[in-house]
Amino acid sequence: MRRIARAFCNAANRIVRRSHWYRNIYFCGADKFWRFNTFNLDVANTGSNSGKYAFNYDGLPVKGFNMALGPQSLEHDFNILKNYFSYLHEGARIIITLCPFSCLHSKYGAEARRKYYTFLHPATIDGFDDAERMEVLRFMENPFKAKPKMCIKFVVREMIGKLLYRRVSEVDFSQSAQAFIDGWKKQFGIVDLDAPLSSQHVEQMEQRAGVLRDMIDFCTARSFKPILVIPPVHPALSVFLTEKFRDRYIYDFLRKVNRPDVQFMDDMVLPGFEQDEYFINALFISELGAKRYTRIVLDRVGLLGGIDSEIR
Amino acid sequence: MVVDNSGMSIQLSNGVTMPPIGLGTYPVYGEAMCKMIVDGWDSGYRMIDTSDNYYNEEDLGVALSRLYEARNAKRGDLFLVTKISDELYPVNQPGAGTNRGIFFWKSSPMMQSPTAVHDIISRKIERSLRSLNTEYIDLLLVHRPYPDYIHEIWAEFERFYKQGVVKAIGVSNYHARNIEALSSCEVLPMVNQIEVSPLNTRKSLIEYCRSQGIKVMVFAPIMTLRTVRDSAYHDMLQGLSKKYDRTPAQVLLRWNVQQGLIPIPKSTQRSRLEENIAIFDFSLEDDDMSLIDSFNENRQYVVESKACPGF
Repeated sequence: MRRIARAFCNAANRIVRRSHWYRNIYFCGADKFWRFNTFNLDVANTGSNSGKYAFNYDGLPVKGFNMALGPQSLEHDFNILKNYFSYLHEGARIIITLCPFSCLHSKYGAEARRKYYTFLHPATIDGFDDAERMEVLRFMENPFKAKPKMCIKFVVREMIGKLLYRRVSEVDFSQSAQAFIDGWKKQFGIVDLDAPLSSQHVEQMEQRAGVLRDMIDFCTARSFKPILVIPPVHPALSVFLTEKFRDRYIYDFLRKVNRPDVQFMDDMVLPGFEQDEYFINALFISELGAKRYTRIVLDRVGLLGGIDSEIR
Repeated sequence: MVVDNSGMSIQLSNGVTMPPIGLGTYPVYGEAMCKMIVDGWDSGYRMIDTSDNYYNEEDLGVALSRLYEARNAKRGDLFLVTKISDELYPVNQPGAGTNRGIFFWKSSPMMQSPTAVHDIISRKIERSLRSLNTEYIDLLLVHRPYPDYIHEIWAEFERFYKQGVVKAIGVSNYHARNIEALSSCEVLPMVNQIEVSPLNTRKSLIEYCRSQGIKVMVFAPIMTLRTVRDSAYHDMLQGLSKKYDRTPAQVLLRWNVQQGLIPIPKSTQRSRLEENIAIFDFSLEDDDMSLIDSFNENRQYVVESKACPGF
């Protein structure tokens, strides 16, 4: 009887571990770190969701690792880099992916923290809590035993969803762009994107500039080459992000970082990268787009030897 | 069989001498420790390596007492190495054996007092001395280059060195830039204990240490025999093993000592203890040294940045 129960539990665990909910919702894609063991990387990128969707090194003649996870702050981009830089060889490129509001503080709940327990050193997890770590790791190792009701609820819902909604609905990029803009305004308390930053935001920008500066210096001290990148956004979104906005939220931020020698690629509006097929929504790049954009960036930094020169 | 390697002592930059090979003790506990220490002594080992976070210093202390009694050995006949480290998660918890981030990390509640580094290191050294039943430690190492307190830790090490409680001080898992961070200190590290294997030859770090008069100890020197699955690697070692009429472990250990490295293999089997130390009566040809080197892929068994992020 016990053997049957164990076999059932193991089978249930296997199903849960394979589910989109367990891998991409509960652990936000952190499973890519669990078995990662490739040394001598030529390139890695950090970032939140923008970076996660923008880069895909599959099929390229380089060893690359997309370290980006979302949602997360610039501080945790840095913490991941601190934990995983041993996999890079000397002189490797580190693409630091920025997004339109990288200069401001983003607050995330405790659920955003749980993914870190599975692959980061405790000293690099903000708000680390030993009891929480134990709970998360028990769930990671044995999900069905740890939270059977939750597993059944979400995995069954996912299976039903797959059966009922096989067709991917078309994205309304204008609506998506508006949703992002409204969401950011609410999240950061901004009324007019073109207006000067509030004193509170200026303070946040100073603090964030310090983090980014430390990140750049961390890379150079270890003989890596940092590159700052803002990936393309859909034209429906870029129209909201005016020159004024960019000067205040991005260029001013980089002026405060004050590392002019570091290569910066502002690809928010990238000619030849406007097609809908390159995006999954107004902000995030599709797999097809990521493969193309990764080639563009790697070619620019000399890692591909001119393969994609026609689209520069 | 006892291998006499007493004439091959390594001299550290402060004049202290240490044996050219040592005995690793992780993870060995209880009776197994007692047996290994006595067997090790009988085989010729005179250096024993442990650490506060192997959680076996007390067991080693008991084993040493038995050794002194059973073999009429004295404390002065042995060279004891231990380390100061962060805590590890215990075996009954998820993530067992990984670092807890309690000691030497600014984020830890344990480190909020301005005298935390001093207090913790003092306590740890006292405990090591008590556990090992000794009045001095031959070589004390900082287990990892904890980036938040690299200077403070070393200042404490210098203090204990000057007091004579430790005869030599050194570091472990340090890169050249971590050692350079200590260049303005009064006492420089005498030893750097690191991972070196044919898959991770660390040539530039070894060369750097050599240029600074720092001796390089090697932990887990024969681990690749059971962790590497590449058949070409094992074929190469088997080939050399046949050529020199030695075991693959002896070939690997010889490759270490021939580079001037000080390996600390671990085994609880008497026959292997004897085998591992019987490496001072043959040499590998230069071509064979190069052949072993050619398997380098900078592959770390313990990924340094995961064990000590931001170092």
